Amino acid sequence: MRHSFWDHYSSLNSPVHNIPTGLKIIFALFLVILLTVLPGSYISFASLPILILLITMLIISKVPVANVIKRTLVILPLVLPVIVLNSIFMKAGLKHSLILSVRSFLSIFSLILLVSVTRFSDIMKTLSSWHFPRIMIMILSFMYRYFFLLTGEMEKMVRAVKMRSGGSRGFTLIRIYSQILAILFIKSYERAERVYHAMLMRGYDGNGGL
Amino acid sequence: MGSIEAKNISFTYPDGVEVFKNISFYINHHESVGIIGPNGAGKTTLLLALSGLVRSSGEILISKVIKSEKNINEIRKKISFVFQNPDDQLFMPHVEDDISFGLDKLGYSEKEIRSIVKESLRSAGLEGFELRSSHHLSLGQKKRVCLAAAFARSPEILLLDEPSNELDPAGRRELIRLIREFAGTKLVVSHDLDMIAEVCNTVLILNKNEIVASGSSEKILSDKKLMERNSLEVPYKYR
Amino acid sequence: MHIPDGFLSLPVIISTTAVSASLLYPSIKKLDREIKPERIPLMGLSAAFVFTAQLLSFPVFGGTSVHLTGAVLISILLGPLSGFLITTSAVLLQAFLFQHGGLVTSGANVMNIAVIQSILGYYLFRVFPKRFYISGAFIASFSAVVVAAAVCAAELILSGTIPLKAGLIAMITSHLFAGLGEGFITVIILEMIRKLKPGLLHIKKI
Repeated sequence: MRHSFWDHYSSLNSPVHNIPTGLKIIFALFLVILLTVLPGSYISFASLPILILLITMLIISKVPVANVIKRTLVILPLVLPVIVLNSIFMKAGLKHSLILSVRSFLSIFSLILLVSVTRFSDIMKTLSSWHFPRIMIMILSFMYRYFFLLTGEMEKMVRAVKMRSGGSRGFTLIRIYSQILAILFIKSYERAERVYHAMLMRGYDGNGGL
Repeated sequence: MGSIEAKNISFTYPDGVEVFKNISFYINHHESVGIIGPNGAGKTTLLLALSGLVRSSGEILISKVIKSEKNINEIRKKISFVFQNPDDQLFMPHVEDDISFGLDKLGYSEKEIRSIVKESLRSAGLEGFELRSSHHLSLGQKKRVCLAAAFARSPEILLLDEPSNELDPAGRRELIRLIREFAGTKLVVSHDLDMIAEVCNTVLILNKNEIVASGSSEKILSDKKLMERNSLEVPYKYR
Repeated sequence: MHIPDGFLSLPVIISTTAVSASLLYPSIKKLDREIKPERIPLMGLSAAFVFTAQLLSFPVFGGTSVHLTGAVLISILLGPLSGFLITTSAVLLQAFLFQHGGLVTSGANVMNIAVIQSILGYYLFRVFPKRFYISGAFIASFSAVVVAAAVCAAELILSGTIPLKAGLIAMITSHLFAGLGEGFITVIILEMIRKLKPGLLHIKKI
């Protein structure tokens, strides 16, 4: 399942993986803030050491480099239009945009690295120890747990529609896909009732547990 | 300890559909009872009623104590209910969290809980699965985690809703083995009559709002006319 | 639009994070007080639903596609407080799981999507009398997306990331279409729920 890459890579064993979660989060935050506040002129000579640091950590972590680089490309659809827009409408727009691109590329690299070497549940545990609101942690955990199941169900329905709809386009397809989502929500609602029953059977009374 | 008694219980859906009406039965402790009947007969609903998850009229006694709203939490401590769909009861990030959920309410210490989790995973053949995430497990593994979670509570009564549903032959065999290992009272709802024949010594047929037959598995399951009258088939063991 | 790291200046980051946090804190306290235990799995699963639904690519014409944000939809279904927290969680998880958004720009993204769409969008919906349920939902979802785009543009402009005039025009026009999509998809989903399980539309809004 294409989304489970996170679980897969974050369970590997490496010196980078073994850094305490809190430290990893703080380090990533530090890097991103640094990349945000550094003046443009500093970015040009700070970016190379930062890139080298990140790539080194990546290699030590044993997470496939190609995979990470591929995931950083998700930023392109946002960066390219900005480069174009600024080059036309902003003084020194191209230079400005290129610096911007470096900032975002290195930031997203840091974020991807953080996420690839840290288990989701460890992030939740750390946030919990930092007194992150309990209900948010609950919602995030449920979201993470059921997301894979729901995408599977959604994909099944979409595939079934694709096989039957032939060349339906535009509005008809929007209507059908929206109906899929409606059904998905109803299923989620009904599942929530059953999950609540399961929780009740195990003594849940609104406190603790989660 | 682990007896179940239903006295004239009825349940109707909010939209007026009657599920069961005035049914009564007594299940002795350590009995292994199969609840069978055609689809839609209300077998699952019966389990929900016994657990207090739906409100039925009439009286239900669990281990000779009348179930009421006041003592429902105490009653549920004696029961483990394994749902039909494991995704409905594996809602925590890791397997160990699902198994340990609620164990603190039973009075165990953290250390005891850790060892209970380890032991229940081991008996379910899932050693080392503590940190696995349930959304990555196969159906058979998920069902075994649910069973492990059920056994971890050392219940007097085990309720199982269609446990062998959708399992492959190997998974099914494993499940049957695990269910038979449980020494307490068992109530199994299933249309897998071959499994019922292997696991249960008593059978109740639920059909058209009532219990139309009850007795030893051998007597009921081998009665061809009775089975066919209730849209059921005689399992292989008794053909 | 989910703003990635590097696109916002520190002052904008700090102010948007402050706004989002100052709204989150009392909202969480209020929800903790008002929510009944049986709603917790519903919130969790609804959050999973919103997160999943946002991934669905609705092909329109050419190669373009539209996605549902669902912020107003979920507030209409469960209430503004629930919608706010669910949408916030979705924004945060999107940043972590898909790098859709960023680490320090989460405050701004929460503001644009959870605060403006889930909360403001919901109250705009509530302005309409009951008999305009569908049109109200459409207008609220559409407006929420467009207003959020304008605020997002403001954040980017104030950060010096994009030019004032051209940036504003580009952001808003590109989101008009997304807004229409959001409007249509939201009302079709609501209509379908009304057909299949009408009781769902009447659950208590928290």
